[in-house]
Amino acid sequence: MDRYLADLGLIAPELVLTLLSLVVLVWDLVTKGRDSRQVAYLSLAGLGVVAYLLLGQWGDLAATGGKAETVAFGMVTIDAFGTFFKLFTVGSLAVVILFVLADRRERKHGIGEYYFLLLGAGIGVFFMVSTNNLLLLMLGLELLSLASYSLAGFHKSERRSAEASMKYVIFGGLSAGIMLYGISLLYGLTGTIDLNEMGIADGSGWPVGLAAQFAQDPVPVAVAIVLILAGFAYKVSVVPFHFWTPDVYEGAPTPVTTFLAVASKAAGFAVLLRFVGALFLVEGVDSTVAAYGERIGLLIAILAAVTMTLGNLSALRQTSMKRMLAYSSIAHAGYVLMGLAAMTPAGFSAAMFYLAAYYFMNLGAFGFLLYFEGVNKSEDIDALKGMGWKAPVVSIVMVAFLVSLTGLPPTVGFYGKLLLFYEGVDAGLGWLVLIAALNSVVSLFYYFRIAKALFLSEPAEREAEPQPFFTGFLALLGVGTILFGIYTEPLQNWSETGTDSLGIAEASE
Amino acid sequence: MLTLLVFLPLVGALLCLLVPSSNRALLRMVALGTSVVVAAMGVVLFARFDGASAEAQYVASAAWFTLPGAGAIPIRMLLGVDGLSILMAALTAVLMPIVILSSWGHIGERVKEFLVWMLVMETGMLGVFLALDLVLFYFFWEVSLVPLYFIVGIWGGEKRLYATVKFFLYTLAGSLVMLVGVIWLVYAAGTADIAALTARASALPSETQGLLFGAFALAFAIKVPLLPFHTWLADAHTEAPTSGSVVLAGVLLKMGTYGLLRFGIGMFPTAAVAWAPLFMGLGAVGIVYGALLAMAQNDVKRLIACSSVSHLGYVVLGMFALTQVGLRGSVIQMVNHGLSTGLLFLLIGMIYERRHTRAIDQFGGIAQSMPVFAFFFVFAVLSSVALPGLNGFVGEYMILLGTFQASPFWASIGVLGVILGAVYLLSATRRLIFGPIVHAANAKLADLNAREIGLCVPVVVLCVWIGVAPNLFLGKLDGSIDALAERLDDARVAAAEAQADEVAAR
Amino acid sequence: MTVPDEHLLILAAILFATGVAGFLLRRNAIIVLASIELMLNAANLSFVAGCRMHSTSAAVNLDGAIFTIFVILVAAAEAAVGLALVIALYRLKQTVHLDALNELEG
Repeated sequence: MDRYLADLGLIAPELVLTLLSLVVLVWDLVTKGRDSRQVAYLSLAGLGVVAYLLLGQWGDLAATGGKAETVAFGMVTIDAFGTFFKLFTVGSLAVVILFVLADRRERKHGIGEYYFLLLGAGIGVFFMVSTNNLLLLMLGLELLSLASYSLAGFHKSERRSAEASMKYVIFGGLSAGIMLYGISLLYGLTGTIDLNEMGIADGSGWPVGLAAQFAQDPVPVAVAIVLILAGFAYKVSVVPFHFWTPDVYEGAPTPVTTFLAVASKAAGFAVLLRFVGALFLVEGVDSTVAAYGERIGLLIAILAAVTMTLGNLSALRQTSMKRMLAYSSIAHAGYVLMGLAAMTPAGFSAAMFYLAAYYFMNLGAFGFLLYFEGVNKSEDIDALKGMGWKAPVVSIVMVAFLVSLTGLPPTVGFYGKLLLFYEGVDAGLGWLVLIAALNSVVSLFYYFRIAKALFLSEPAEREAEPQPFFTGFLALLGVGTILFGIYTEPLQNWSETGTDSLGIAEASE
Repeated sequence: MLTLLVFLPLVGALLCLLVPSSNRALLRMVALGTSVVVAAMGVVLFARFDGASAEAQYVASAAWFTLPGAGAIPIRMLLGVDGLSILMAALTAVLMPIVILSSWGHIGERVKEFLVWMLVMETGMLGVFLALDLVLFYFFWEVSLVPLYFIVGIWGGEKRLYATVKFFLYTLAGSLVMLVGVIWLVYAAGTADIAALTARASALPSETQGLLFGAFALAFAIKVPLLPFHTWLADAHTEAPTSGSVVLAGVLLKMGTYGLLRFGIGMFPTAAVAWAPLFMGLGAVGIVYGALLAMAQNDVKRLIACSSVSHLGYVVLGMFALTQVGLRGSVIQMVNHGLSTGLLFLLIGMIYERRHTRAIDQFGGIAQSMPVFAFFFVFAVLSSVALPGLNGFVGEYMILLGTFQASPFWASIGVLGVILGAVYLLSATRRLIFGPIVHAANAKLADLNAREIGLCVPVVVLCVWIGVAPNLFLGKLDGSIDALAERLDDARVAAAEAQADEVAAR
Repeated sequence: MTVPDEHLLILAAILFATGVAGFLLRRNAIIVLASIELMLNAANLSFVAGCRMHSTSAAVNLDGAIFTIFVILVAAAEAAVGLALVIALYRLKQTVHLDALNELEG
């Protein structure tokens, strides 16, 4: 009994979040959706509690080497890695809720379920980033997906929204099917659904570790792993599983797009990092497995190169800023993959740092998009012409985000890229680093089209109504983007603590 | 002291942000005040700097972050000044008040934004010259870039968009290649401290050295710009507002030549020795090609821009002669070019403000209506064509002398460039300043006012000073250049030995 | 007589392939959703097969069986959301053909 109570304590943030989502749902029903803003405030307050609990948990974990001693209920692994992503997820959920409040094209009443769905997606993320058990991982992922489908189609009477949602469901279902089939094969081969057991177990009796599998016949196990990776690749929109991304991002309401592009994608990466880490890099891994890990690394490196190149080249010819940001997020997925492809702990922590940077700059960029959707009633880059002089603060902050997205100093994006490039070179992926650098040049082209439209055109005739709250909020994100680009230590320490807690080690030569 | 020097402009920029944009007088005073203080500090730094030592002086260091990985490499906020950077830093500090003061005349709109960008850029430029940590250097290198995008793009001339995009893409493409080089070098050498890197880089395998040298040299060659990459410069110079052109010519281009000197030659002497003929060739051809381009121009600003290409050709030529005299000459020539070309851009800006045209055939005979202007213009031209007694002579003479020791052929091409330079600059002066007044508008032009004269005088004084007493300036270089030359000699000896071994092996 | 494990796995593979083929070849939204269900059920079948392979009379490995139940649940939820969207789409477009999804291109 005590054991269960202790386990419940470990998943307190998840419990509070679940409870919160239920309260939000009931509150909305009871008040009959009269004023959905109340629901939003309630959600924000609840997220504050969750964040407080997570910070406490982080403190405990950091003191004890990053990993809780017990695996709650044998399924939930509470470690600094997961908590890192949970903290950022809570942050971005709060930001997205603020975006919904600030969205001028959104109704103010009867949208309580918006918040419920967001929180539900959050619960999915929480569980998927903190488990080594494929069942719980799948459930978390599906919870996130199901909530995301509904969110993408939230404006179901709008053709674009409904269409985006339909495409999302269909491609999402396909990837779920592929991933589950892969998991079933992996289970069939190893007899376990726990990643740690697969990575560590030796060959005698069930469960059979990967080492024995690879030694016996590498093809089935490789097929299973590639199928599972394909499922994750879909979530983080890596080529060739990126088809849905531009359409869904464009059609979904902008706050939802923000959530998908930031929180959902980062969660996908968290799972990817944990999966690859647990199978191929875990301490004491068999040398046969490590050798296959290097092949997987090479595969990922190639996918990274293709993804960033395709994302950037497609972004070049977009006229809609929303669609451009969608392609840019594909390109960024390619950059993050570099850290994974390095197949070293330092590479993983570089990827985590970059994801943290990505939270800041992409939340900012999408916030800017939302701001000007409200002002211009349009997503076109051309509609921004000369608006820089009418809404100077937001626009200057946007320049900071753009500089960061391009990866120039003095921003957090630069530092993230520096780390990724450095770890890439360290892992002997010089060619990939070169491709990434060239891609940054390409990305400069389209990112600075926005800056050009804002400032290098004659001032626009229209006026932008001031939105002091929204402006101040974006400015805060902008300050973070620059501050963490100069004072990088905290983020770097956090991502290193997170990686350490995965228990992965440098592959022995 | 250096920390203050580098970041004071940034503080000034933040102060400017706090001033309401309607209060232009206060804005201008804040910006000018900041830059004057920085200039004063620069002068003091210059005066106190001990030229005989090759060590970095006034070193300021603070921990910044650590690159994780195989060996944790600390990256520091490491600032310091040595013989290679002292003149550049001082030049930057001294030119900035002039640039900011000059903007009174032509920046009438969005004054606040302009001044903020200018000050941010000053921080970036000073940082580039004073950084002693490779990553920090790259950091400042990029920081100095973005402001110019806006300065040219917002306050520039008619074709500013084209010019901005071209300039931005050229230089950023180069600098991202450099970023790969930076990371690779830091990784290979296991440190980011420039002094330690300089010592360790020569221990790397020679192919690696060659590739790294290539990556750095490419970025710097684009920035200088060396010959195949020169097209962005003509457009950027022509479209930039006067103050932007002055900064561009006076300081930003020097970042390229400075980089070549410190990172190209200083870190990879072996590769530099191997590649020197190519760079000397590019430099010399650049001299002649720039001069020929300049002859064909009717737009006087574009003419000066082309002459910039030509003058920077000298700098590169002298630098890659890899002789003591040549190296010194090229460093002093960087300063000279900043002063005299900067002055020319200032003056052209002044007549443009009056006539709103820069076509040479629209002028003629303005010596009669604007005698003071004519004096300064002729002075600047004479300084540019290296009249003995002025600064240009010292630089070009040393460069040609140094080059002659290394390669008489390229030196003679350089001499040809001197003659061509005299031809196009003097003929442009004749058409612009002297002769009868053809256009009635030129008869009533107001001569320079006190502010404009005030802008020119310090530059003129410096030009004469360098021309008459170059040793004050050259003396500051001794320690560093001697050390550099020593490393180059070692590299030559090593190369010769390697060759001898190869011959013996056969 | 018992069915050999291999047969179960082969059947699962055939089901999965059928699902993928249906997904790629058919353009009717409902049939595409059905194909996805087919793929999920292929996974179920192979989970059950795995469960049988790993269990002895002494020790029963239930992981696969439990997984199957959850997959059925997920499949139901996905079908619910998917069909709801098909209905929403039909209201807007009067068709459930996927080629009619052409608002978002570029």
